[in-house]
This record gives sequence, structure tokens and C-alpha cells, in this order.
Amino acid sequence: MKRERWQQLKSVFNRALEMDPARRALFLDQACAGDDMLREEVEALLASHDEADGFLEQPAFEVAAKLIDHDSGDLLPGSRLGPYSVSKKLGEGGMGVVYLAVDTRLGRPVAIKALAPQHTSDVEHRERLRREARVAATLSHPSIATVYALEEHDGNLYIICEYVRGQTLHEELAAGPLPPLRLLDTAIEVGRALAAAHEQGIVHRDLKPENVIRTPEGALKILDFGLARFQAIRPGDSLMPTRLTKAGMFLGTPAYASPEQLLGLEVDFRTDIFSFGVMLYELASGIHPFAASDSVATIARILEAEPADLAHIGPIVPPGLDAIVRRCLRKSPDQRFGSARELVAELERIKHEFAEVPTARKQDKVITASPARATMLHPLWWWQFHQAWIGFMYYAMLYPMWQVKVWTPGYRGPLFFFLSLGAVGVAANLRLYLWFASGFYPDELAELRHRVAPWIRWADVLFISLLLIGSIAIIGSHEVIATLLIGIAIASLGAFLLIEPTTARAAFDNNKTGPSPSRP
Amino acid sequence: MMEKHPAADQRPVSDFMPVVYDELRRLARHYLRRERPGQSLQATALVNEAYLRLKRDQRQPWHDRTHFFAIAATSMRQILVERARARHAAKRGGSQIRITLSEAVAAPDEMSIDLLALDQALTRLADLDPEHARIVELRFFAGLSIEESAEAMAISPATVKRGWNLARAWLKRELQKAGRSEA
Repeated sequence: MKRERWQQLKSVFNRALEMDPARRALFLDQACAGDDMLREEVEALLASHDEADGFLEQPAFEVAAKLIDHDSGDLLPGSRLGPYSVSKKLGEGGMGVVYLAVDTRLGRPVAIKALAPQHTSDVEHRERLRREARVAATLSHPSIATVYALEEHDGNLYIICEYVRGQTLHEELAAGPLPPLRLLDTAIEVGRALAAAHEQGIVHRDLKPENVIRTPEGALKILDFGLARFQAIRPGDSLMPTRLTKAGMFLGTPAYASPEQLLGLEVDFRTDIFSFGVMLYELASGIHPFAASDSVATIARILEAEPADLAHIGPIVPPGLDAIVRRCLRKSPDQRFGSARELVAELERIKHEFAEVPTARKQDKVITASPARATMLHPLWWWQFHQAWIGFMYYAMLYPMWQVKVWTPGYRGPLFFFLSLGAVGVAANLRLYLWFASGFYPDELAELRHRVAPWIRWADVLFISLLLIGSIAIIGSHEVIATLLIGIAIASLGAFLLIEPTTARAAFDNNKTGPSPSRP
Repeated sequence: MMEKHPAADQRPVSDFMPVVYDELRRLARHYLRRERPGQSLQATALVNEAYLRLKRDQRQPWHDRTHFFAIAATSMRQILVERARARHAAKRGGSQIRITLSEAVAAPDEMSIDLLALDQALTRLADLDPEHARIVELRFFAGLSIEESAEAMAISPATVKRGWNLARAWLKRELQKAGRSEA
């Protein structure tokens, strides 16, 4: 239709519409004189107008709002997504919402991961995800949760994977480090799965305790293999998805990322070896090797710090494990294990050695994890012993102090005794308090020590001064006791100046880069 | 499709569409969450609120309310069409490309509209008569009333009303034609 024609049509139509319908025919006869096409057109439009009641009346915006709300890919229980019938929402993971569903064709349960909406907008990004999902789906290993399909539904992307029931290693860690044999078995099983995937050229890129599940039957399953790029980007980073992933950068949890990942460098299977090392360290000790107050500090530690010796912090660590973990955690990928296969072989070797040690000796062998420490007790134990011993000794000293009081005439006797009592009370009680705290509140020990240290110091000084004053006061009448008191004063001085600081240093300062006990 | 569409400004609408889209989307979610059953979403209220919020931003790329509504309308049109395409692609091989309005909005005898066909027809209409196409965009895609559309376009409500009648009748006929040729 030409524009001029449209103008004609418009004018006739508008006038006809304003008219009483009964007079329309007559009007059209005149207006479209000789132009049957125009008349036909106008009549059709008028008819269309009469039945158009309601047409386009409801603003599309209302529909659009509902539609865009569905952009998040929310699935309601009972709804269908292709052949999958959604049962319930399982939770929200790194990629988006995860649902439990049933594949109605096979009757088996599946997990559906609805990808965050930002994945659905960029065509190129979508294509990349599709390729990666295809690659991830080729993985078939008993310890790797299988990716069944990548589905598109209403413009949203969904990953359909094997549904795995059980507890993640992260949840397991909440109960503390794993016992040595379980630890080694777990590490070997995860390592074998890694090796199998790496041999197929697939890298996990986001290995962490949350991504490993132990099924009720005891089998391990690694989740989200090869799907690291599907991670959701936090709101506010709307421009980031393409840029980030194009640069091969990292989107997951920084705490388990390798240095090269954090630096945005090219990554290969050795990034998984590093993450595996972090996980192994944590499973063995219950402590994250690079734990810090916040994620920026954690990143800095991953890039720069050497983790503390496992043997120093881990309660029970199989011998040789520290060396393996250390090699996994090398900053330079070239210095790590050359393959997951090699890593597994090492783990199997130490497991074999560990299993050969008779059960009765296992405990010794375990505690003396590194040869240099073979004859030493745990340094914390010495410190604890010292604190307790001094505490009790102080109370024992109240008896000779009482004697001094008895032998000292006038007000000076009681004054002397009460000052002694005060010094003993502070110095002994605070030490016993620390001793107790080291067993029950190890996390707060450092701060407590810092807080009570000056009190203990001054109480010690006061007590030693009182010992000397008391012995001088009675030296004329009770030589032997006075000499004894002077001896005790000198011994105490030695203990406070030499022994106590030494035990404290051994217990607390032996690893300056040591981790704080808190998780990142 | 968008190049042919007359924009209210020299700058391409797609430049600031993401801002408007994000805001509309955010608000829509917010509204839907507190919506009570049976109460339908007030499109105008939504667009107005989006406008007020975005107006506070000093870097706003549009000049005035009119311009904003033009962008909002075009945004909504694009959103809907893209969604319809995505559905179409998802159901490759299937013939179902309609977005049934009643599917999303509970109204008993709501007709279903082939959004892709509507979009194409609207583009043809814009060729013939940009003003009429704009009226449909404002009314249908941004949910403006006759009066609001008139204000936004700086023309009289009567003109909008006439234009709306014709455009609607014409579009309905075009869609019927499209439906017939498809069948």
C-alpha cells in the first residue's frame, strides 16, 4: 500500500466511523465513487473495527512484566520442562536455582540447574555454554555426576544432571577433619575422577568441598565438572559475563582458586591440582590453608603465602601427606604434580605405608609426622603443662608465706600475707584460666593471652619482690626458710624470664604464616 | 526492524534501552511479588514509577517524559518480540509461536496474539503512517491511556482516538490475513 492510498483510506474510514452506521453505505458510495478497491478496503476495516473490541486493549506491558519475571527461569513444582516434571526446588547454587525433577521418559530423578538470566541474553555466550555443556556431557565416570543435557525452554537455559543425594565434603568438614584412612580414601577417589576427566581434556576449574558429595552408600561424586563457566555473576556485574569469561577469568569461589586462575592467566588441569591441594589440606586439618579475614586477604595469601606445616596444626596426619599437599599447592603450575594420575599414585603409596603400620603404633607414627619432630611432644602441650604447674606452685607457696606472716610482728605480717595472696590469686588464676581456655576456646586463646599478659607480669613481679622482702624480714630468726625463699624467688625469676617465654614461643610462634583457625 | 522505526530522538533507542529495560524489569518483579490474586498489574503505574526513578539519575539520556515513554514502549515491544522468538526457537519444528495472553494473565476469553506477526504488521504500519504505529506502541506496549498517549505525542486525544481505531482495525485485519496464509 502506498502512503497516499493510506491517507485516502484514513480519511474515509475516520469519517465513516463517526457516522451513524445506517448512513455509512450512502457515504461510502459518494466517498469512494468509482474506487471499488478503496470501498472494499474501508468496509473490511470497518468490519474489523466492529469485532476488534478488546483487541490490544490489555497492554502488552502487563504480559511482558509477567514474561520478564519468568526470565529467571523459575520453575514451579509440578510444572513441566520438556520431558522433565519438576518436583521441588532444592536450593540455590553457584549457577542459579537447582530443582529436583523426574525424567518422565526413564522415570529417574534428575537435578535441573536453571542458569542465571545473564546467560540467556548474550548469543555468543550462550553458544559457548552450549559447547561446554556438550563437552561436560561426554564425561562418564562413577565419581563424577553426569551431565545429561542442556535444555532451552522459553529462552532460558537449564542444565540437566544426575541427581546425587548425600552430604557434601563441606558439610562433612563441619564435624572436623577426616580421620587419616578416610581422608586418604576420599583423596584417592576424588583424585582418580580428576585423572579420568583430565585425560579426556576436561578441567573442573571450581573444585571445592561443596562440589564433592558423599552418597549414603559411601561413594563420592564430583559435581559440576566442566561447568565452571556457568557460574552466576553477582548482580551489578551486568557487563561482566562476556568480558570475564572471554578472558578466561575466574568466577567461582576464590578460596579454592589457583594463583593462575586468580591472576586471570591461562589455566589447565593443574589448576584442579591446586584446588585439590587446598581441599586436601582442609580435610586433613579442618583448617583452610589460606584462611584470612576476608576474600581479598585470602586471595593475597593464595598468591603469596606458604601454608603452615600440616604436621604442626593437624591433629592426626598420615606421614608423607604434608609433602604431597605442599606439592599440589606450589604457586607455579610447573612445580605441581605433572598429572592427577601421578598424584593418585603418591596418595596410594602413603596409604599403603600407613595401612602397614601396626594399629598400636599408628598413633605414635601419626603424631610424629615429620622426622625432625620424632622425639618431641606437641609444643602446645609443654606450654599447657607449664601454665598448670606454675598455677599450682603458686598456691603451694601460700604456706611458707603464711609462716612468714606468723613470724612477723605487728601489722606488717598480715599486710605481707594479703599482698602475697593478691599476687598469687592474680598470677595463678589467670594462668589456670589460660590453661583451661587453651583446651576449650582455642580460637580465642591468642587474644586472651594478649589481654591477661600484663596482669600476670605484674603479679609475678610483686610476688618475687614479696618473697625477697619476706626472706629478709625473717633471715635473723629463720635462716633456713629465708634461704629457701630466696632460692624460690630466683627460680621463679628464671621460670618467668626464660622457661615460660620459651614454651609460649614454641606453642604459638612457630609458624608466623600460620593460618588463623577461622574459615574464610 | 528497529532501523525503520522512527525514533523520537536522533540517538538510537537501543543505546539506552538496557537502562529502561533493567528498571522496568526490576519494578515488574517488585510489583508481581506483592501482587494480590485477581489484581492485575498496572502498566501505567509501572512505567510512571520507572520514569520517576530514572529521572533522578542525572545522566538520563532522554529529554522528557514523552521521550521516555517512547523508549519504554519500544523496549517493551522488543522484549516481547525477543521472547516470542526465543520461544519459537525453543520449539523448533513446532508451529506454536503464539504468546497466549491468557496464559500469563488470568482473563477468561482473552484472545491469543501472534506477537511476531503483530510486530511485522506494526513495522509495515510505521512505513505507512509513523504516527499510528507510535500510538499503538504507546497504548499497547507501554499501557498508556488515550489521554496519556495524546500528552506524550503532543497531539489531541481525539486524534489519538481516531488513530487508535484505525490502526487497531487495520492490524487486526493484517493479523487475520497472516493467520489465513499460515493455515
